[in-house]
Amino acid sequence: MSDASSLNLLSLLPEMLVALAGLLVILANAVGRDSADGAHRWISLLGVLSALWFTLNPLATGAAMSGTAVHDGLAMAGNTVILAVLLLLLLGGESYLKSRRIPLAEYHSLSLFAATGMMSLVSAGDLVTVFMGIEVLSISLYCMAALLNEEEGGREAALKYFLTGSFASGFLLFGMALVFGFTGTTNLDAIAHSLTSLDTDNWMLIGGALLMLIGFLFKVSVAPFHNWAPDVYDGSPAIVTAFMSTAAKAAAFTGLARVFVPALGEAADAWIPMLALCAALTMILGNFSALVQDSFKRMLAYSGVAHAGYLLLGILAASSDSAHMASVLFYLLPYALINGVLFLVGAAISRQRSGKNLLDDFKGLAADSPLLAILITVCLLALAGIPPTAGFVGKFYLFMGAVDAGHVGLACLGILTSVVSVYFYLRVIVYAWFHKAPAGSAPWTPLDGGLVLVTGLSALLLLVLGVWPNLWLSITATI
Amino acid sequence: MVLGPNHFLLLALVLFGIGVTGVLVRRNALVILMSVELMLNAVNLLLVAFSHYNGNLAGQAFTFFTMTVAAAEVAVGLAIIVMLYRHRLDTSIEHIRLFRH
Repeated sequence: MSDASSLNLLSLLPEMLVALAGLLVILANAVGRDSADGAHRWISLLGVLSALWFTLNPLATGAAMSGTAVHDGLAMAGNTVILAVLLLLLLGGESYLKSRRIPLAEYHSLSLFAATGMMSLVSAGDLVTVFMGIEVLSISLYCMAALLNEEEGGREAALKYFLTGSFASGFLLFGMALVFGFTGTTNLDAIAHSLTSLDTDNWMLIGGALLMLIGFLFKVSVAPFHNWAPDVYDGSPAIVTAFMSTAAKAAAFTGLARVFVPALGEAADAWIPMLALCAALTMILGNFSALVQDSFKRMLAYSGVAHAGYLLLGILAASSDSAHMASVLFYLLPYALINGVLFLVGAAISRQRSGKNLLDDFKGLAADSPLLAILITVCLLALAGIPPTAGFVGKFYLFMGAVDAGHVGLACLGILTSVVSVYFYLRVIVYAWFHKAPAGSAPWTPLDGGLVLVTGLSALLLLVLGVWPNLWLSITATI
Repeated sequence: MVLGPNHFLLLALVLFGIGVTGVLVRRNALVILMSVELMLNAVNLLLVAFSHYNGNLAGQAFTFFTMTVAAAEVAVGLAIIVMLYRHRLDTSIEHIRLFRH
């Protein structure tokens, strides 16, 4: 561990590499114009791969920039999830970007800048860093949601995302100001330290914690602050949805854990009831709303809301014993991979049928492409939490953690709503295997090789982690 | 009367409340954007006040970050509103069902 007052810039190498790649993409576009189309992807790929390498084999760890950033196990696991999603989208998203004519330089640079914000949030050691991380990722995502601005849905999604996102930032910031006013510091460690000697039954601290919680819950789309999510996920380009429903959520959850579990842990009595209530509401609303959707994208959006509820159980567990943080981080990886893959594959399949992302588009998939049907089945079973997939192991740890922390009722609710969720995931599988393609649908053209490859690798990883969870758990448990 | 932190807190709360009300009540995207800015500026006031009374410059440093972020947010927000206006010649959010299920 290095001295807290030193710069320790080397530990920030992954963030810097990703930001540098984003700047280089812009530069390549300015210099090369249209001939640089391939270069954007290669620069991004190089940046992401090198950042991933230095995340897993860090040159330096510990506090950096006078304690405003901390590179510990939490940051390492969070960064790995974010970079894995970026890699997945880079390898599997090329055909989608081409077919929808999304401007490549804008897409690649914005996704790298958003990732920089996410990585700063994940390794934040100070409220200022938390705020800047959230804003960098949000502002980049507002622009990315507007990439398909020729379509009405895309424009509305961008506006809706922007208005709700900036509204939520206001609450987050007000909460931070109150916490700063009460504790006299913005450093997370110092806040935790000062709360041990101060009276935590103070309205300023409780109000600040609750306002910050509202801000965070907006960002991770937890009920009752989730109304924006289905519309925004539905209207944005599928590849952007795949990014914001996975990497952004993973980053926001890690940030939430960083602010609330260690720093505001002393004031846990103030925010735990609200968090527990929101978790229950989210699991119920998310799963039951997903039941009635006809659109695959909206179904996944509501399933994402429901999963935010399961992850909140992990945060609740971590607030009583921080070892349970590992189960949140464990589940983030399979969750992010599955959703990243499903949004992309769903868009590619739908393009061959109705083009409207309907559940009906999956009918007859097994006859057209058995391999793809198998891979999607694995992903959906993992999302439903059926063994032997990583989804089952992840949910098992989350619910066990909730039981350990004394939230038995919430854990039961989680299991019951998971059973409900099996219905709408199985519906897609049944459509794919036991229904015939609608008469008059165009002949099947094989999907892009890169997309099939990342789908296959993700499905394989889900099965491997389902059987040997320690491969990833040993990394997340070092925190 | 001597000004204390509570006076600033009250003023910031009132400003923040006006901002929140504006976002929830007004139907024009531009006015909503202005209301969000009001919320952020209420926080800036609070940060500077706390910074003064705590004898700690961290809050004032925070304000610079907030202002930068607010400027970036306005730039992106106005671009999105202009994009909508071009297609609809209207900045109202009436036609956008913000809370549809």
